[in-house]
Amino acid sequence: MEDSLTLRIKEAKRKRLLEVWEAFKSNRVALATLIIIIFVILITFIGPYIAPYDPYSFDLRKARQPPSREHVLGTDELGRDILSRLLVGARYTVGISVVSIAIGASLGTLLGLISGYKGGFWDSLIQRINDVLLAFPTILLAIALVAFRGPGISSLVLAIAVSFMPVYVRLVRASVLQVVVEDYIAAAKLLGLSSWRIMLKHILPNVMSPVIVQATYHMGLAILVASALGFLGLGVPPPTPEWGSMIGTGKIYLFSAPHIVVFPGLFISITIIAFNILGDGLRDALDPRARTLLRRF
Amino acid sequence: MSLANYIIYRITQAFITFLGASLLIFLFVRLLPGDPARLIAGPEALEEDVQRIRVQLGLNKPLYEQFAVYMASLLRGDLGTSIKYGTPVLDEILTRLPYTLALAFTAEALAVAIAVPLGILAALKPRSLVSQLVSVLAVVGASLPVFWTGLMLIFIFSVELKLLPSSGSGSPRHLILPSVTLAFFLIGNLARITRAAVMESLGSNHVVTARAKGLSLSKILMRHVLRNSLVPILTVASVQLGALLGGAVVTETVFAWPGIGSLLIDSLFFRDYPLAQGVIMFTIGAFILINIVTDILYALVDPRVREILWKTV
Repeated sequence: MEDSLTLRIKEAKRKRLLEVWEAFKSNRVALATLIIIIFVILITFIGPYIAPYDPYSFDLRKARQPPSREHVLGTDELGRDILSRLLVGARYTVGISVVSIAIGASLGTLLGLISGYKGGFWDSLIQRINDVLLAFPTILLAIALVAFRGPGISSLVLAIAVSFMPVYVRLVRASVLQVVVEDYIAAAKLLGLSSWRIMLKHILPNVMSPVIVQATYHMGLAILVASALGFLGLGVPPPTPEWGSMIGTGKIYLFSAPHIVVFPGLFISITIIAFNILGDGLRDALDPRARTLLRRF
Repeated sequence: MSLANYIIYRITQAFITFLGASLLIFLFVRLLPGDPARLIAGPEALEEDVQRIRVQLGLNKPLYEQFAVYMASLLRGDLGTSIKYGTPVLDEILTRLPYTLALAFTAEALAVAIAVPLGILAALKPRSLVSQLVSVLAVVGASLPVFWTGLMLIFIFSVELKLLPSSGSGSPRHLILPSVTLAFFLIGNLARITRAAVMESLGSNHVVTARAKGLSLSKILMRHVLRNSLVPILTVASVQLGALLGGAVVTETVFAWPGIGSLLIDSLFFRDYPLAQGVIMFTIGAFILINIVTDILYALVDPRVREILWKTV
């Protein structure tokens, strides 16, 4: 049987979630972008099943056709259906971004917790390495990692995860330093809880809001980086229909068949805009004070 | 801490960061799964060719010895020899550098020239159309991938209107489209920062006092508001410029602009490994350098920043 205290805590948590949702809901634009994002995520799962054509089967007689009733978004340089390629490609562009951020944010959060809570030697070590990583412009670090490992999905995930990680280290460390002075942490220490338990059960939940908002902003940036690398020929190799590499291989037909470049670009742009607006909405709803710590770029 | 000490401190710190970055690049190359010699030789190469490249690059020696050689030549300013061109990497970089500088400075100047007036107008009339435009630009400008906006501009101005060249670097006109592409990416963020900074200083006590004294709006703007808003605007602009010097890789590639960014992509394409490593080191060095120059400039310009900086040191 649960005692009244735990019940009260549960009730308070539920109320807090409801408040956040109410605050978020009042932002109409953010709410609208949430629908776009749910749609995009849906496509990453069911894309291959709703694609009208096989995204890999080519037919040179149908190459570079403008949009028609048969091929709603036209065909590419090899006669492949662009809509089908975009629907199937979502799982690469968006999927890679989600996985890399999950890895980068978890590692960064863990290091930030250790750095902020343990202090001393670990703090100095982690911060010095972090300073070096922050000295790289994001896209350059990603290019360097991909270049020295050879192209492919795992290189791309590693590159994005490593180049985003230092932002979380800094963000979480700063939030931890605000939280550790609270009375409940002192109480937890007095109870003799292990530092891992204090970090994971008592500090982590209190530093999650900025991490969630940052991760949402990073979704936009990750899609930007993943598709830019694809465009440069350093990302997912063809014939995989990653959105950026579709533009990279289609760009030489810009003069005769611009639709090959236009539609993938629209998909990329709308998705990134949606994640950035969602990030703004979440930031305002979750924690308006964290504004200065978070960065969209 | 005196100003001289502060400058020495910042330079030492930057130097350590640079050494750390070189170590990191060194380790990327050697420790990540994947064999650079095999990558250079290509998938069909014979084992003896791969071994030859390994010896040529010194990759067969023990790690600490490689690192000593690498650091020694780096500190002498020797970035190695390009495999493709057979020339020193530094020479290759210096040939390309003017193009990157031209593009970066033109794009940033264009962005500042548009974003700052836009931000000020938006701050003066927070509920106006201009202010909404700034909000929209801040999200959209930074969300559209530059390779796509670049291609769209080429389509409109080169293919359809036949007004501007689509790629290359023969004349100043070649600079227009790549600069506009980059500026579009930068304007939104810069305008938003300007709006926030100007709005904040409009509300500050000394501005309210100046208004109460009956000073005209234009005088207040010039004398009090702009001067106080300069630091955040300069911060963002210099960060952007620093990123442009190394990060215009994508835009340079789209427009076949012969700067450092496209040199990097070329070197990767030809598996010219020493060249790629050299370009990356050079860019990071430039990026770090810009950061300390900006920090030191602040300390010189703004007494408030000076105090904050010195306290945190």
